[in-house]
Amino acid sequence: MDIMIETKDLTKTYRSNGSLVEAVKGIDLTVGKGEIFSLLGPNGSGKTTTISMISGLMEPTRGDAFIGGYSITHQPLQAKRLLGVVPQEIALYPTLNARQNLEFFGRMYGLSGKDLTHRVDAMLDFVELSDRQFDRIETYSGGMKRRINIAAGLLHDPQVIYMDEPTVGIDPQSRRRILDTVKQLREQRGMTVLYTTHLMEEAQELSDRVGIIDHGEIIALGTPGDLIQQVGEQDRLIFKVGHAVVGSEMLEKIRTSVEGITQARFDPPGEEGENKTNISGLLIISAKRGRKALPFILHLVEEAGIEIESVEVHEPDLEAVFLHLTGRALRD
Amino acid sequence: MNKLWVIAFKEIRTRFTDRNLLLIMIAAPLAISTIIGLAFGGLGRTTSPIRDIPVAVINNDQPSANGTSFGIMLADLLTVGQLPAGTSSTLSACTQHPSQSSGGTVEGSLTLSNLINGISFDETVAQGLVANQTIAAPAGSPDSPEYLEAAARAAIDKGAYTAVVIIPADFSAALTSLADPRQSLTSTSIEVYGNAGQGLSAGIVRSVVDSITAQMISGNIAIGATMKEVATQQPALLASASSSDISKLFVCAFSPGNDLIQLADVPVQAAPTSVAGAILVTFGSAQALFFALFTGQNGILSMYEERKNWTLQRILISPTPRWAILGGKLVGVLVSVIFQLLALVFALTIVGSLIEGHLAFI
Repeated sequence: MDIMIETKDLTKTYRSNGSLVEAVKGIDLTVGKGEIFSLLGPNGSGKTTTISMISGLMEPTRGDAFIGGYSITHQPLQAKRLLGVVPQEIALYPTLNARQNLEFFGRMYGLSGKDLTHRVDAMLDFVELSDRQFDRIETYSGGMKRRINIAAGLLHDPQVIYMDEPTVGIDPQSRRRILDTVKQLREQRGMTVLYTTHLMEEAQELSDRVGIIDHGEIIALGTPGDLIQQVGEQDRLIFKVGHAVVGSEMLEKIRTSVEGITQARFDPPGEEGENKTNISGLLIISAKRGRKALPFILHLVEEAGIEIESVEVHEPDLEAVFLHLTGRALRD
Repeated sequence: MNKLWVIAFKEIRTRFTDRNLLLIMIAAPLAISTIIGLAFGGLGRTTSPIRDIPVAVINNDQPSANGTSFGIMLADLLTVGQLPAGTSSTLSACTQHPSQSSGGTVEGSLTLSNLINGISFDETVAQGLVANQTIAAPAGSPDSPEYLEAAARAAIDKGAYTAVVIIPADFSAALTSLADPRQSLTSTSIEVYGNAGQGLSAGIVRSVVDSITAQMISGNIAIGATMKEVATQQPALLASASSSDISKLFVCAFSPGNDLIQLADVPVQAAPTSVAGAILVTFGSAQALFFALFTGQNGILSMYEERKNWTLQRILISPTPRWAILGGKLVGVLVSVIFQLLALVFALTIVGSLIEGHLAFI
């Protein structure tokens, strides 16, 4: 696979109160052509600094970043031509209309004349806002502004697009439309997407690979499935059993007779812990393949005459991986 | 270079499509200038609003030994606006100064009779004020000077007049002593009792009285100096002439309105003649410049705003050199300021023309 983004020993050091602070500690990263790569990290982890250096907004203290083989420090104009940016902020002029905004940013990328007109028309069609192109941006809804924000980043048909939390603060319908747009960019245009988000389900749905950054270092890198397996997170099955009591003998029977179960416990209603406010007892089982074990457990419980009110299956996700690796939720 | 112009054009476009900014750039200075022009310019009135200041004059002056009464001259100047009949015949012989100077014409000047509306405050006027209960009756005999002065002061306090000018009994004697070297010098004082609530008008009355008496004094000093010279060279001539005769000869020297040196207003060609127009020109142009500074400041601050909104970063991420971004910003702001000034001058010209009733360029 061709490499579109590459960082070599990318480092950024600040001087703060007389002492040196290493915000990014020599990151080596490669993202292939047509890949959707999500960079996840809590606030202050060095994520924004890394992206700023890759996009040429900030000079690295050491090392370099390459876009399509061009060094961002030594060949910035060539590298920037290949890169489109969709910032988290609505980086548009509110008093100008959508067309005027797109024309301005198109000219910044060297587009002009018929080529510019054609690209602006194409982008307005792509984000389905051709009918509102002559309305001022300030009159648009949040979702519409986000779509024009994306269109402005795609105008010059870049080979790499960096999207910084493009779904923040919009309704679920607009969010779904944006996620579909990201998939289209990769599938129809073969674009490389560098994506940052706070929403794990977005990263999990979109990303081919995920990098988790903390304290200026990449602490985990791989596909979402790989990362979940790497940290050994397990499924949790929670059975609501009403007033029935599951004894220790029954718990031992479940643990030994069903494959993959690592833990089984019973929480009576009103007990301290997660069952404090519940009026039903909870049978909580941890298993490596929870869905596979579910019918066997149900059979055993029915045999014991215990009536089950409901069943919940909690599968491990990137949120759990993130929590496991960083000790913090992503929003911390 | 092309991107510099693109950024400059964007700057101008964003500035002139921002309604709030347009309010500050154009509407605010235009509204303020128009309001100030109308408020202080008196809706295009072409004359000064200060005129017809009500003044009471009490003349207690006793003619001097030779029969001259400078008190009557001063009182007539304040009440009638010209010298008494006897003096004016002599005055007509004086060389009349043309109302035109080499530099321009005296336009819109205000005569003393327009400025001051003086009345001779006598017993009848005092009785009338007491009768219609404007003032309470002062103590003393109605025909005594003290009664009149007390009544006049009470009338001032009640706002019936702006000021009262009380000419003392020895006014003529004091002035004549200046002109005749054979008399010893005496001093006296004119009382100008003003209404504190109308300080500006009272101050004008005081200045007018000062000016007239100063001219009388300087005239009499000139006569005195001349007579001293005559006494040295032609003692016989002085012995045969009375100071009254000499006073009449020298009347041109101390008659108010016959100054040998006059200051003429020299209006600049094409300058507006109305007060409203004048205020629009001075205040409007000052406002235009003042608000143009705001636009310049806003232009510099817009760099920070663009950074906050991430539009600056979006431009920085594009393949655009930094000098083009900075240059485009500066050119855009400069052109916006020039457009703003032109728009304001044009709009103020329209407003000024509407007030004037004819085309008045600002």
